[in-house]
Amino acid sequence: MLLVSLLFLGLSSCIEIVDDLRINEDGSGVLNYNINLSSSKVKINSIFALDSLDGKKVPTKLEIEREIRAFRQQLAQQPGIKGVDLTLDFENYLFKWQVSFEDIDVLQEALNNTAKSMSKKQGEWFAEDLSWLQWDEEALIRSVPEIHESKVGQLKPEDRDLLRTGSYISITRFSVPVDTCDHPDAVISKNRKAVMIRTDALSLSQNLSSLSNAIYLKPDEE
Amino acid sequence: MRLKITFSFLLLGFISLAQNPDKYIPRSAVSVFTLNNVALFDKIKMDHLVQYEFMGEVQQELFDGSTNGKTLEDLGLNYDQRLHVFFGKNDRYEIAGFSFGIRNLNDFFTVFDDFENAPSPYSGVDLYTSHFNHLYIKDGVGVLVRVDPTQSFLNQQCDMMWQQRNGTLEIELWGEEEILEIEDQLENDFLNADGYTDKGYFDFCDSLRFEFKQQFMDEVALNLFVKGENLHDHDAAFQELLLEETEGVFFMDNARNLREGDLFAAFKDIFPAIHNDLLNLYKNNKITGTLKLDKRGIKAELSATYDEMLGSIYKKLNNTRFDNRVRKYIHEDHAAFFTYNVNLREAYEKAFSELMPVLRQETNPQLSEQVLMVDLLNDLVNKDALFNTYRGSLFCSFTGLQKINVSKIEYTYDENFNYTETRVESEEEMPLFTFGISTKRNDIPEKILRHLSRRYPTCQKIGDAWKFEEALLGSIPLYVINVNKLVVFTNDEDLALNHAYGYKKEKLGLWDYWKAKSSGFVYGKIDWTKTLEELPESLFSPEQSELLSSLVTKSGKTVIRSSKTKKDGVDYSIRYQFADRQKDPGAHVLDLVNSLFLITR
Repeated sequence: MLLVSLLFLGLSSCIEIVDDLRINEDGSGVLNYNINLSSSKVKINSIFALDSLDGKKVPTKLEIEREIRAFRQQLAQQPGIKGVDLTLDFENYLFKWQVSFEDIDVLQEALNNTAKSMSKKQGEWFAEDLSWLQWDEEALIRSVPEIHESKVGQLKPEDRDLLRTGSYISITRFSVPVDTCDHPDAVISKNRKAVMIRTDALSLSQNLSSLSNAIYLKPDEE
Repeated sequence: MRLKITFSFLLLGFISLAQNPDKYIPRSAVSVFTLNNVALFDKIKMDHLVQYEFMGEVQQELFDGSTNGKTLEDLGLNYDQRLHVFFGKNDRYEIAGFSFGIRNLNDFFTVFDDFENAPSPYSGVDLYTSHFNHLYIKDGVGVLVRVDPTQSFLNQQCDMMWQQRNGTLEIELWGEEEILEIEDQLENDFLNADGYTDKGYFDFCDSLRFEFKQQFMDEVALNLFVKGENLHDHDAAFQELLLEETEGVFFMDNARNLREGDLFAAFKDIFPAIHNDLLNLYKNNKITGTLKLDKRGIKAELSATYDEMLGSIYKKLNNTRFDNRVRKYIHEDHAAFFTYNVNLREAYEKAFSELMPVLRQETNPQLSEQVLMVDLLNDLVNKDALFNTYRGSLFCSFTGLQKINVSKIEYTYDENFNYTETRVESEEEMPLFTFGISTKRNDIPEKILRHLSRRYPTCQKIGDAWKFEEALLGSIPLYVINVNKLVVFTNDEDLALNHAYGYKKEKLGLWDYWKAKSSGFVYGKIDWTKTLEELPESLFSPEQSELLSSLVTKSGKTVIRSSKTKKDGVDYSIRYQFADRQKDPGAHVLDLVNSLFLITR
């Protein structure tokens, strides 16, 4: 999922990513991850018309779809993953994931295992740990996964400049109200049960902590 | 006797003094740009020179602070000798470099102060290195050269050796001995006793690239300085070209380009006989040219030479006339247009009569089946209908930009960050291209178009044109105008809907029309100022964008025309007229060299 989004970050300037995590009281939840490239449709179609880009073969839509479906299948088989829904719209370049999980640690473990097993060549996978969430029923701490940092670091300066118009929206939802959060740009929803951080893709690539946030929930009044 | 000995010494002395850069172009170079009048570039600043893409081939780290504000004059080059820029590619490596005369070594190393003297394995040759650059100096001639393994070769070798390390060697792509040699070298230089376990695949490939780079560099230097193998002695056409008294010359051995660059690789494994025949067909195919500079512009005269068989096919291919109907479909305010007139029917008959007897001799069962199939198709297919539908002549034009509507998805959020997807319209600028082919049978494409409109609702006839919705890049409509013995494809809505039978007053001007008509099989004209201002770079691949941005500094017009095709070749003339006559003429020549480099690459 993250790798796919990074692939497209490299391909396109106008990208919108919505990362929407819902956590229930028992720690289970749903992660929605949407990649919207519809405003770069012409550019992406022109890339798909090429054989290679920067000396590397341009994959076909079918190859990309096959990889994503294989990832989905592997992820769905991981223990503690209750379901993985996938919507691939290659006409508008809109890709949506929905992963239901029993527990946050289970989700991270499942993503870690799946990404590792999908990595074809030894040494290609360089993140030991894909943890980016810590949850203890009273607070959630979000950070940027190590893999994300490494890949963004590999982007060429000119590609980073192209990211200026892209946006990354991170939403975290809870079943209980949020008390406070420590990210200065984080916004709490009117019902206080969701927190949103909106950043542009360039800022994300230049400041990897721009998505890091500690969210504290209101203590149970009973 | 004494006279003979004296004469021999004089001759030897003359030969030694006559050592010049011409003899120091590696034989593996495929294309060479030679600048005869080096003094023309005196005033070119090094900072300007480094911006050219062809300079990028020879590491740009050469051009650090020491080159700031310096001109080529400060380099201490020998103006009595030519400067050659050469490039080449074979199935293993790419080579790029310069050979030039050096008048003053101190001046040279004052500008390029990063070079350090290195032990030279070749007698009489001094070696200097800086980063990945190798500078060899012999008898006052400098050869600055860079060699890199090709990406495809490197990928093959990396994959193979990586698999071998993991116990699954599938195919042997290179000689066993060379593999062992490279692996030994890697073992010594990079790997621990346990092998490759502490290195990832990409680190391994980087190490391998470094080793191949060194090995191929040694191979090139050995051939050039020890075995004396160079392009000048190897190629009489190149020798002859250097006698031309012009500002510069251009040479490309296309036969070798096709053979060593493996351009017919698709046939190599499946039909090796056809692969060989194709290479033989292009034997002696060379492109040579001269660059002449005057006050108004540069004229490049290029000649392509063929062997008899290829020449006879091309002569038939080009035995046709300019189609007058094309004129009405090229707007007088075009930014660029191109016409190409060929007679496919005659070329087919000629190729069939020349090539099929050779192919019928093949005993390979798979190939002989294919030959039989071609023979049967030749007998059974209605060739009159086929070649009257597509006669071979075509034209294309670029007229400018137009805004088009495209749709995109946007997310809108409510106060609790629940979101909905909304489809919104946005505008994008699109270049207007028109492409057309001549036909005598409009009825045949019409059948296909009618079928498509019944089959796909996105294809509809509007007026006299057929419209295909979102046909280009998934967003842009394409129009097909199938009238007037032409089939025209365009994304220009105005042409399709309002001028399906061609422009009237706004058609291509008489002068341009007459020039195109009187040319050989090809004619093209481009107004750089109009074209480069309007082409959106974002629509092109990085390589194409690189070419475009290199051309952006240009202004003026370029006209390309060909002679009538002869049995042994065809001549082309490219005229580049400066719009900016204040600019240094040397810079104009370098612009053209750079464009030719990017196009040939």
